[in-house]
Amino acid sequence: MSSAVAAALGTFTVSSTAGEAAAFCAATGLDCVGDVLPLTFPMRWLVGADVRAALLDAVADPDVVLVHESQIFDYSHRLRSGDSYALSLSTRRESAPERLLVDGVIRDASGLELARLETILRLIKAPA
Amino acid sequence: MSAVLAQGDLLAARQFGPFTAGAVAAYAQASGDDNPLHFDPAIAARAGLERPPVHGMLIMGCFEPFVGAWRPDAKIAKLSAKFIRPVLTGDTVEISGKVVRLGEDGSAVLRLTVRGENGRDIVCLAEIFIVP
Repeated sequence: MSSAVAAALGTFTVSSTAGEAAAFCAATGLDCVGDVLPLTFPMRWLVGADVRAALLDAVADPDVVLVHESQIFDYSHRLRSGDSYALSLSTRRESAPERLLVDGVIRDASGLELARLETILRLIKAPA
Repeated sequence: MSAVLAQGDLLAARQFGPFTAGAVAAYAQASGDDNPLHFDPAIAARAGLERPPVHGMLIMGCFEPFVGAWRPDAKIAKLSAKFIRPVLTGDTVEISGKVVRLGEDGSAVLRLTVRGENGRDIVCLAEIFIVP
């Protein structure tokens, strides 16, 4: 297994509405409590158009299928709908097997770190 | 938390699902993850699956209500999951848990096991860190 130096993917402004949070709670069987976002909600930001485009650029192979292998969310503060955050992402590549590791840090407007996330995607070459 | 925890305490097993095509579609809509692998049987077949797989994050999303049903006042600070085998659309999973470590400050680590449709295969393993 080899791991490359982390490459910055960018910092993205992310937020959510109360309606988006409610829909997410309903889809995961969770009772929403006030404006507190579900713990796994930040995944929604990773599949946003701008972040997704940056991730696909990092993969740099249209024939690769991304398989979600593992996920970590580590909170120092809970996130809330209606608030805006800065999501900073970086990626690392591993080989044997091929993986893309995505590291994220979520900060508030003052720069206070609120949460970290790690997503590991297995890169599988799709059969022709 | 409301009751003192002990190492080895068990979290009663609970069923989640079945994750119907409608449930998967609702999660895709709510999460924004519209990867066709989760809807298109032909793409799933190319990946060697007999039916489209459920989003791993939909399974992980069950952990918060699972822990909340065990201890409504549990404060989860960290959760990690490793997706071992795919859960296919239409399947049900069973989540169980155990307190595997206690901190002197009242923190605890829970280990969750997610078993698939046949109740035998482990499809996901997870750890949940709760804080006082």
